[in-house]
Amino acid sequence: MAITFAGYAGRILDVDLGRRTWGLYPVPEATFEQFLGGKALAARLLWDLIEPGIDALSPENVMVFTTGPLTGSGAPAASRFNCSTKNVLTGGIVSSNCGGDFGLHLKRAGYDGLIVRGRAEVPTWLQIDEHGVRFLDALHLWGLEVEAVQHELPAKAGHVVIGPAGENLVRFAAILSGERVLGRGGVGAVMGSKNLKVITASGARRMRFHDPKGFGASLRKWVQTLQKHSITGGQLPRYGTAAMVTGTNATNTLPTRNFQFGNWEHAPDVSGELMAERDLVMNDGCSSCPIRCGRMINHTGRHMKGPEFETVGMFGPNIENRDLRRIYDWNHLCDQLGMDTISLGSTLAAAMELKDRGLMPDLPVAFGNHDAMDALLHDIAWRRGIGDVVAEGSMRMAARYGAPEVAMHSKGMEFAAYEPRAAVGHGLGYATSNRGGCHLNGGYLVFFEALGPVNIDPLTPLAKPALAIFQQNTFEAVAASGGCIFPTYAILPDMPAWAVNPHGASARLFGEVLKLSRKILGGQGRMSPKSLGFHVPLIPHTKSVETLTGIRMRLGSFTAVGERGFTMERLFNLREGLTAEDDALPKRLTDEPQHKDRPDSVVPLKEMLPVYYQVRDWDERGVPRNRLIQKLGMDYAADVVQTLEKDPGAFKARRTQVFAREDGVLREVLAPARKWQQQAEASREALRAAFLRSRAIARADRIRQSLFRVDEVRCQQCGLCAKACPVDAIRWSEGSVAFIEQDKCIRCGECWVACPPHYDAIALDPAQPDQDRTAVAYRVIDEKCERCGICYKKCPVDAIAWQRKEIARIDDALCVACGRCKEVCPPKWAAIVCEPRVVNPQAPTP
Amino acid sequence: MVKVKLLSHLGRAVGVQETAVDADTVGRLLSTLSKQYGAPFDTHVRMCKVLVNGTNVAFLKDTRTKLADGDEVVLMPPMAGG
Repeated sequence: MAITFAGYAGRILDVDLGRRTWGLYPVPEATFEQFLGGKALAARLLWDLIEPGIDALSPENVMVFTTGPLTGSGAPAASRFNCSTKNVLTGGIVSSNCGGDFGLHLKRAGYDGLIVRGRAEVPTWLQIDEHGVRFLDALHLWGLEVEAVQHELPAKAGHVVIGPAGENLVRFAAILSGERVLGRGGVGAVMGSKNLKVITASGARRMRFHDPKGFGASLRKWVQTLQKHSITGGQLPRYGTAAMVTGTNATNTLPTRNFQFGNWEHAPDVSGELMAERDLVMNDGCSSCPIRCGRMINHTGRHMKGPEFETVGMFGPNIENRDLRRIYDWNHLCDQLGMDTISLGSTLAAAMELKDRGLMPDLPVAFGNHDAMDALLHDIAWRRGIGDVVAEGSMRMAARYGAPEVAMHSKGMEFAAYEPRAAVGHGLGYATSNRGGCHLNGGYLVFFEALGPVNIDPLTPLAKPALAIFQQNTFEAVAASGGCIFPTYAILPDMPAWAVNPHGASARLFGEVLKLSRKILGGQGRMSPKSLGFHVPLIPHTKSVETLTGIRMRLGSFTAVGERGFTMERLFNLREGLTAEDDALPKRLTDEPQHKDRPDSVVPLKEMLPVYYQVRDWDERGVPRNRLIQKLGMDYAADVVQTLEKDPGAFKARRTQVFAREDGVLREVLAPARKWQQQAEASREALRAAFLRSRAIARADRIRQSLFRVDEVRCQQCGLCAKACPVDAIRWSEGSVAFIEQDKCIRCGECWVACPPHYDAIALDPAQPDQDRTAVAYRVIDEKCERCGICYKKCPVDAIAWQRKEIARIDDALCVACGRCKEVCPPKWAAIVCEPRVVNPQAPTP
Repeated sequence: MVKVKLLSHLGRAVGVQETAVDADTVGRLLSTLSKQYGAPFDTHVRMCKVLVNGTNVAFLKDTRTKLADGDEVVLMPPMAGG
């Protein structure tokens, strides 16, 4: 179904790995208008695609990769894509967001999203381009670490890859796209359970803009704002997210020793300032991002990706490690193995606390003692020994040792590196986040309460629910549009008049107004999407989306997209058996004060939750009310809401049953995965050679049936095709489009191979029956061959084998029947003839 | 003496990340530092939060907040991440 909005490719690709089939998934235009894209659209698709109560690691689970309209448009920090699926940690939904370039390339290939169903019978590589999908064998890549796999992939395509942790179904396994990570919720394990090692996407489609001038103007203003702002133009480019180590430490929000404390005397030893001064080579970033918060560091003579704040927090204070360089190593290792550093760090901290209590004596590491960490990380990723237990995540591990209270998680997924007892609204965010203990999905209130430019009492429960909802909806909508949430930190401009300063009565006043924000923001749940029909300069996404797509997107409708996405995910969770009881935090955070002399330094969750439900227009048991569903236009969920209104625990058994059988399901999937790992390890080179040969055969087959032409619109005038042509059949000069002279062209396909995939400017037209070369083959007549090797040297596709003083041999499977060999064979010998083809081109020659 | 920490780009602007100042209130401490470090300090401190032993002075007595020997004051520019 084609859609008329600009900015979109207009198609969702639907791949079934089990059946090895693909097609397009019809999505009505109204759905794009309501959900925009990204995680919101993915949640809507999953609502229809996933049968409630299935196992996350079963073939029935579905992965949805989505982009947003802004992805690839050139808007600041808008190269994001999303992966949503059923969560292996929580049993609810997971959405994971990434700044890698896969989304960009997926869109260039002509798809806004990708649905992956079923389970492949063998390790598989999905290759996506504008012409569709190819299912390639990936056994030769199975068991390899991420960098080694990426080395084997085409450089100019976007890709997502899992490491050994994904293959071994580690519950917090990640997916990598370049150096960027889809980290949370175990999306890597789901991809592993589908025996899917790699997805690559390439294409050269260009984006259509509804109002190019307006879009350009809104972007210029936006970039200027970001570059001037003290956070997006100062802290983030200069120190990266790791600057927050000292900031959270100062505000008692730095998780220390498995969230037992909120600050750590040794925090300066692992600070972003130290990283920037000692090891930073340059700052780095996703494509089209002016902020560039990524770190490129020099470590042991090698330039590598530096850790983010979350990683430093989890691998530093939370396990009491004072050595920043070790964090670099572990960060790098986790990327290679494909693991989420947040969940892993938190699970390790919980394991160390269990060891402290004498419950887990065989753990080789402890708070302050990390010598055995490298080996342990490998053991976790490969599920060996004690690593197999840690690979289950903190909730399952702690329950196994009879101390569930040491697991710092919500719904089953571990918290990020902010201690919420000194930022209680942030704690509410952890409890209500749909994917589990997530800071961003939860609204990131620590920004208002502790780190950002305003003063709002971090310990008061007042106003926090309304503020959390506002933030959650905004972040959700920003993610749906394809943007990164970092530009929204410029939402509070640093104007000295009211930005915080120590003499700032105005700043305090702002804090007081925020406290009353329940009155201001309290009607959010009841507000019509049609209200607030204006743009605000502080959220530039609305104008950009509107000028890009032509969808009327104002403040009201934009936050409604967020509200719709959040409610959709909530309903998905409720349908899977989660209830209001799961909007919870560990007792440590709700009952044990962070400071003994401040009894209020706990998260007053019980006070905040009812208000939160009320402002969201959910009933007191956390079920979205029917009128909210009607307001958001989500009628398809009405029957589920009706059932839940009568009995909010109606679906509870589904989750209990999934948890009861999950270990069996996991072991069943793991067995063949391990067999392939051994098989691949034993004969990787032979497998690789066989793979490359099968690719070459498929390519030759396609070339035999095609005619070649330059697509003038796409040609970037680089001249690579002309240089590659063995018979000078391509006319090209600097600054002009190439042209293939059909009478000279021998159809060897070299121009097609040479044209970069992101140009894809050589078009393949189907050959007429009389031009089809599948039925002919070239053969060397042994008696006539003078063994000169000229045919071998001139063959454009390397299909001829020859050695000095040996007869040349043509490999029928690789030969494209271009006839170049016959042409160059000296006429007096005429040792090469063209004959009807007899061999099966698919069968490898002996 | 009161221990003062200057975080992130404030520390970088004045070239000092940690210092000690003799002051009995936050206001006096800030004017002492302002005299000492001049314009770079003044530019950045306007956006900074002031924390005394981990508590934001906005919830104490602002610049009139009393300081005692051994207290730790942190000047923190706004920051964020995710």
